[in-house]
Amino acid sequence: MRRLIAVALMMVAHFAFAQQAQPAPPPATGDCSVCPELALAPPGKFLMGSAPDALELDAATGEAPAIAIAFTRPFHVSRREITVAEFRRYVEATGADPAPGCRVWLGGQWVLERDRSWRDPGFALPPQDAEPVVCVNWEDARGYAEWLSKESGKRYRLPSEAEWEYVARGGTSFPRFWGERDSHEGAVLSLACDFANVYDSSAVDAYHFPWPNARCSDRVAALAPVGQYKPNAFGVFDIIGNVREWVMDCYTASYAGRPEDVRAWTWQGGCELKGVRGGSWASRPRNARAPARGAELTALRQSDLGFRVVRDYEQEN
Amino acid sequence: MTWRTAAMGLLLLGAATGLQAADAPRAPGTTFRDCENCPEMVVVPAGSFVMGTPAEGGTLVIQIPHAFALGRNEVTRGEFAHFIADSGHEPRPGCRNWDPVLARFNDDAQRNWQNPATPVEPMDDHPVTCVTFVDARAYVEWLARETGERYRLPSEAEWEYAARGGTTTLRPWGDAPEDGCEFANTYDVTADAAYRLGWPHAGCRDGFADLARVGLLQANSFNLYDMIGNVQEWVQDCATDSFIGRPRDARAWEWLGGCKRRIQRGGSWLTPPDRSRSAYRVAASEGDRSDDTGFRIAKDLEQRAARDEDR
Repeated sequence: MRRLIAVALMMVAHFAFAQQAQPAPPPATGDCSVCPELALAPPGKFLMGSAPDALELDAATGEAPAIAIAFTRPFHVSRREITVAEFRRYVEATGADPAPGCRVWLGGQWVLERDRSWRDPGFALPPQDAEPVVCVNWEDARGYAEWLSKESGKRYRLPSEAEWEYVARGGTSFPRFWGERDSHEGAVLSLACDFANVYDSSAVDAYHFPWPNARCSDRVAALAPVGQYKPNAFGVFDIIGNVREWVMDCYTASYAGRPEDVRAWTWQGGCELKGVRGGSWASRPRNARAPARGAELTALRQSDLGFRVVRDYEQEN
Repeated sequence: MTWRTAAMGLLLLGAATGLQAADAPRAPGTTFRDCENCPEMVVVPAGSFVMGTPAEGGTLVIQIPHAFALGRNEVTRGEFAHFIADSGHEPRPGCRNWDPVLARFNDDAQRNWQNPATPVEPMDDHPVTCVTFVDARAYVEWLARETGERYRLPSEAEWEYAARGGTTTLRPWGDAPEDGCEFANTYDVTADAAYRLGWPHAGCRDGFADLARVGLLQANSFNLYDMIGNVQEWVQDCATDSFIGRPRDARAWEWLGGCKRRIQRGGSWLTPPDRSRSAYRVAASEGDRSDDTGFRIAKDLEQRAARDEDR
């Protein structure tokens, strides 16, 4: 009986959710009043990257050959991409306001617009509180995580590339956690729109990007409020699509020589190119995959680039 | 100090460490036997994992809150024979097997666990087959009575957790079926040459045309043999088509009033590659038996009644 009620409630909730124009802001966790809600990634091991014969392999980015990574300890990851509202609290609390200047899609290419910023990325409507923050560079994202650490006394940081991909696969070995795999460019990703805000038929008319789309409809042209699509098994939303996400690692076009563990690959002296993952509302289907790798300059701000945070696991009693 | 006191000291030390070893929680991966004819058990650590794949209709994070023990091997014919001799349990006669003349699976009234169609020369260390869920449950109940230990069938969640051994790939050795012939006796080139069952084979050669004696292939990272392949294994859970509402811990999913259908896991020597996976599940009636179905046993290690406390 209880199960029946639960199923009924879930169906009602699902229906209500679908009808809601703007979802309520995500709940905070117990860490601190401004901390994002966290999911727990269980220990496990997985193959990071793709097999050399994977159909969608982007060989130039170094996602093959795959490398075995083991997580002996669990870790926390924010269930959603960091939102405009969350980022605003950080800016107001610290005064660390990112400078204006953001790359936006204009006249058929990405161009730097001096007056665009996270407060106004130049979409048809002003940014909503529940949308992921964009036009933030790697340092802005890291600053946010450090602020959370100070507020909570816990260790917040950007995910390592290995952590990010492990979360994105959600305990499966699939390039997309919902099971679609090996689509050729231009093929239909019919399930994607239930799980991710990707470049799809709802975005074609507004943007006309010169690359293929997923040929399903996720109902939004550009950014979607976080947490609207189905989560993966770890309870994490929007890990594929919506905004590309900064990771901690320096980018190299090969996994050869990287630490064969969960740590981020960085080196003394720093690096200019950082990893970005997951694809966005604007990305071609091939880039909206767990193993797909991207890189951007540390200082880049762009209207499809945001982040999520991870938190080290602490034994709780 | 005389040699006598030294020897006494050594004796005491020995006794003390012996005691400690018996009381201490056993380390994951270690093996033990509770009696001479009891199956060898392996300690499986507590942990969590993601159960299922999208092909199973979804995935679910499962917490295994306590270490437990799982049979290192599928229960063997020799072990099952002790149970039959001691308990007087009488399995329902008949067994379903591949009939090469009819070229289909057929329920053969002449067959039973002692006399299965495959292999041609069954030995004591072949896994027992032609057993129903009821027979498997009777075996663990008998073993629990004999030893005073909490033997039972594994839950579906425990089974998949143990089969995966920390992996997130489709199979314990990776994603590709053709890499599995060192680890699992599935429907492979060898079996296809002998049986021609008409479905795809794994694309490698495991060396066994049909049933293999237990423990001949490589163990997985939890030190368990033949989780994938050889015989499909009964677990405790009632059969469902979905994970919605199932317990998110080690417990089996059953309900008041019982159920007629139970889950089998792991596939067998005749299972095609797309089904020889850690997450693949089959439903069967409690009274079904076939010459590629057996079981392995589990045992609680915790002293407390953890299963009811967690409810």
